[in-house]
Amino acid sequence: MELKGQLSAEFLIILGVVLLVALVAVSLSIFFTQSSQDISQTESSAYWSTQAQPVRIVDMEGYYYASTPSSGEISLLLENIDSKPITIKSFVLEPYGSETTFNVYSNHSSAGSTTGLTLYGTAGASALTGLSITLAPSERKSVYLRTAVACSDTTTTVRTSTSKYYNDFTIYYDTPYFSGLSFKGLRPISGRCNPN
Amino acid sequence: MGKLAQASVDYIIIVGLLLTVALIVIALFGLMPDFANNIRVSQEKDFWQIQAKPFSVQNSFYDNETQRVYLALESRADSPLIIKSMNFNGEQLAIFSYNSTLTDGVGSNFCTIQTCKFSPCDCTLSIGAYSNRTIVTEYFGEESDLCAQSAGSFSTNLSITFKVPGSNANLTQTSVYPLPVFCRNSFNN
Repeated sequence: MELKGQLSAEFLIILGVVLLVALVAVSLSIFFTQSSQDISQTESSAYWSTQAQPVRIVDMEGYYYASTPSSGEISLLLENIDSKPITIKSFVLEPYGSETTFNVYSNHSSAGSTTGLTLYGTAGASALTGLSITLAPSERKSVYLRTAVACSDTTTTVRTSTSKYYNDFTIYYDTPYFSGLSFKGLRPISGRCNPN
Repeated sequence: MGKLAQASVDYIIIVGLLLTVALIVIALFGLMPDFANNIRVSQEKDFWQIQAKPFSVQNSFYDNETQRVYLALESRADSPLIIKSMNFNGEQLAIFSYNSTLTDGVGSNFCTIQTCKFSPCDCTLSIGAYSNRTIVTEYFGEESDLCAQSAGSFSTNLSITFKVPGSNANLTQTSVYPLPVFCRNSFNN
């Protein structure tokens, strides 16, 4: 009887541990593996919000506009994590196909129209110095990229889609010491296109 | 005896389940090394930007195209200093001024010979009190692309040998933390 009691206690303890670990594993699985796209998006968000240097993207959203289907929007909340100011000169979204320039605004378009938006300037592969957005140390600033290569119904590139975006992203910037620097993220920016 | 055997089978099955679940958890936490690496790089950068003396490094990046390391040095000394040599992991670097008007940014040579890779060379780089100097260093020119093997940055032990003008004594600033050098895709002046 004593041996049986001992085995039951061990069984219950082990079962408890298994259930606890299983609960953690299931929670993490739900969080990380809702779908393959979510995995990609999570990895992308994790990289850009925690590892990118010296500018991080702490939040990113895509918008598809039914009223202007050929021009989507990607909103990015940028943060300078360096101890010195940084001046952003351009962004490049890849693949860019025939779109070598696009406009960058300081505010979000609620319905797709660019009326009333404040233009920062022009970015893209043919406009590597078209912006001058200064970020003080630790400062966060939102930028809104109006582009045909993401969240649009064009066939500008094979990746262009109205439901999701997935683009390699390069930031061109100046520091107080060096100009003409750029870094391409080790992960693309990606996410779903919110319908509007 | 039968119950004991039954209990053993239960035990083995549960341990098997436990190990399987643990494996899944470990796999899910595969991202952890990235976060740990990120913290380490931040610590190294903060050390060299904020705490290092007499020279701090405000910017450090390796350009994939020119295969050179670009540094923004800042002197925290209250008198001018002269840098005589700089080493990465014990290997001496050639030092050039940074010239923003040139395509690769490589300006005049501060050392007695073009490359310090094969023999020690004497360099003379003056930095005023509390001043900045942007420089280009060349060591990795004949090496493989270090950024190809790293995730956005690599770290190297930087030492700087310097002296006070008028003095013959050389002093050396060594690494408490390695210097993180960030990989950049292009350098377009």
